[in-house]
Amino acid sequence: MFRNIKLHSLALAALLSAFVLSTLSCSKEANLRESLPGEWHYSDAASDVYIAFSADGHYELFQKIGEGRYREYRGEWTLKKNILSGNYGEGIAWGSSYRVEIDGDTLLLSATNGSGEKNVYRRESVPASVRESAEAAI
Amino acid sequence: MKKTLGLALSFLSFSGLFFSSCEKSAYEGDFKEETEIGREMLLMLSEEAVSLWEEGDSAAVADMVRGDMEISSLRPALSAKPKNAKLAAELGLDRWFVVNFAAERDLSEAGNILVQSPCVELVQPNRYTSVSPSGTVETFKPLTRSAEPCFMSDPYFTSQWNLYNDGSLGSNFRAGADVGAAYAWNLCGGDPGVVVAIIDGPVKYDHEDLAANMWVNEAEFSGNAGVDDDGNGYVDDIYGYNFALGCGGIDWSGPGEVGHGTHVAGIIGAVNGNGKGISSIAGGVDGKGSGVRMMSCQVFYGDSRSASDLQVGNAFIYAADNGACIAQCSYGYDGGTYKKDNDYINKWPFEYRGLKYFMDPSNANCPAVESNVAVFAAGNESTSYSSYPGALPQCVSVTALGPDGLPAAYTNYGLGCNIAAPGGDDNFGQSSKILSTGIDGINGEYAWMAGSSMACPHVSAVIALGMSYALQLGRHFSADEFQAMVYASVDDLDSYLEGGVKQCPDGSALELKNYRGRMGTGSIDAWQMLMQVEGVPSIIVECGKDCRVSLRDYFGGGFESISFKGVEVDPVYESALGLVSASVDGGYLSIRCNRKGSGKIRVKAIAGGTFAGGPGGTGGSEIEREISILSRGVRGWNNGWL
Repeated sequence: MFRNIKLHSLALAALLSAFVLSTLSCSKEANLRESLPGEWHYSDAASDVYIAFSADGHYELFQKIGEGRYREYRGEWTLKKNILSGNYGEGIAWGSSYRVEIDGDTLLLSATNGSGEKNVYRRESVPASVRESAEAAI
Repeated sequence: MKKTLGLALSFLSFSGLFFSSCEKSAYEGDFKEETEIGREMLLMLSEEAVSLWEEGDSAAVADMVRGDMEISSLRPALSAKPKNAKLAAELGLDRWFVVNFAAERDLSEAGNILVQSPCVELVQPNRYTSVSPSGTVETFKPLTRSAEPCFMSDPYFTSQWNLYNDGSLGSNFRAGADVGAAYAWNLCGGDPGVVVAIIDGPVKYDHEDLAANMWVNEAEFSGNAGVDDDGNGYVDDIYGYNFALGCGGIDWSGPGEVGHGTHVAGIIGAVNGNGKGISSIAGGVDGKGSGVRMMSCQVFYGDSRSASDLQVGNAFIYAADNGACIAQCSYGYDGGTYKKDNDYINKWPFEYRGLKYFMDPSNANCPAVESNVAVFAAGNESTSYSSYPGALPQCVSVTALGPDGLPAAYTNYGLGCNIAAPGGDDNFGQSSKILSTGIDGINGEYAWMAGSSMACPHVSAVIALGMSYALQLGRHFSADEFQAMVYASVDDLDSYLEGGVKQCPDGSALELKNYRGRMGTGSIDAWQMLMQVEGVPSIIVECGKDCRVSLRDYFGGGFESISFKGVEVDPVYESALGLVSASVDGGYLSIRCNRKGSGKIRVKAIAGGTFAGGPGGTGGSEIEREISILSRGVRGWNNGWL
């Protein structure tokens, strides 16, 4: 009996843990879903990238990689748990999905394709000059 | 043996008598085939003879040259002392002289005598073209179209399909078959610091739609008549120089003058936004003359005079010495007349050296580009060869398209042709030609013409616009880099030439497949030129994977049909990228990098045809693009970041 009670307790604990984890996970996803929308900026010696995530699941990407003018891409994004996926419109998926971590004004996107690609973005508005001069990627 | 060479001047073909060529070069002193009669020849003297001349002993030199012949004069071929004396000496320009005989004589015989002189190294006739217009120039009558773009306030813009073609002017017009100027103007309309020398007939410098964009030699303008106020060796050269008549006054009163040079000028730099006449590609945007500047180097006078090797060569030197960075040359010697560079070089030695002087990096006049650029019409003989000098690999040779974006029936194509542009169709009616400025009193202030002569200034103007934008952005390019950028500033043309025929109203038909891969890299586009100047993107490749990426950004809309010649990588970049393989085929780069990082590779290709031209044969121009590679863990669609 004691053994059964113990087993029941363990099962209950496991269920509770699962519930808590699930709740925490949902809570975390909800937090990310609230935090991700907005405008982010990444730059290094070779690249300059702005991403504007909208709460409605759309995004605009402005990238300048070597060229003199930003190129603009648009599409949709989705977040499941902490994994960000998206497309370039017409069902063309991104090159990878990304594990998302947000800490204040810092966004870390880690590619899930096994490449080890990680990029840290800062929360920063897309300058009007970038929006105005960008050329649509075709 | 006589040859008839024609100038690619719209449909004003220059057909004329030329001195025959000897099969062996004059360098070897063989004039056995020269049978022409004349009074004048060009000589290249030995360095010793030139030294003697410079020391003032011209009589001794004349004695050495003449042998037993009677000569009336011996004088330097250079019209004035070149500013770049060192380069002129390196090219031997200072060693070329003109000998005039006391009476007409057999030049073949004379050449064989002259070349025996120990002080004479080379002998050539001073070849002339003579002008005989054929075809028509039509006075402008305004057209209407249903939707007027009105990018500029110039009233005749709506008739200029070559600048903006929405396909509405007729059934043979294709939307987009234009030079893309209306879009480029949003970024740049030209810069007065860019000077285009129009080596052609006279430019009507006081035309209402040209005057504000004319190059003006201020010292001569405000100086004294009959005096070389600026000391450049030319008297009264206010708007350029008249090499045809040997005087400062640009003159469009010659008999039979049809305004060819003026028409060419209008395509390049008619004043934009002034509410008068036409718009142009690089004529500014504010109506006040903020466009590129046009210098008139008049080498033709009406239809009764002609341009000699001497005159044209001096025109190039003048253009270089007085600030021009582009030589716009809608002339040439009939396609197929010369089939290798050396044939042309030997027959036109002074022009060739003048051209080299103009294009030498030490004479670059635009701070943004390390060399001046010479642009020529491919010719109007419907042959599969570009005319020379345009066929030289260093020069740009321009083929002509109609408003349907397809080759015009007259255009030359094939070997030596580099790039295509709107030139108009002469047999589809007036509106299918190119509207530009004309000369008052003969053909009106505005006129229609068609020809590779009209296509040529489209390319000159786009190059001028590119230089202007580079100045505006503070960008700087090597000569080779800029040349490759020009050839990449194109819309695809070959996809329209896969099959079928172009039916002409006169019943003739063009087999389009005959032109595929033979019109140059594509159809010039001003917007793409400006994008090239701004900078083309790095190519993203996915580290550790085989990638195949388009080279469109680097080689233009015609990238899939360009002939590629290989890939080169410096060891330092090979290491930085962990480069495993890189090759190019069909316009795509196949590459595998095993290390994340960035680096550069160089891709070689041929602009126009499948092989490069040179001394032994006519061909395309070899170009090279340096391509930035970014190797990272992710590569999205169309070079996308995510």
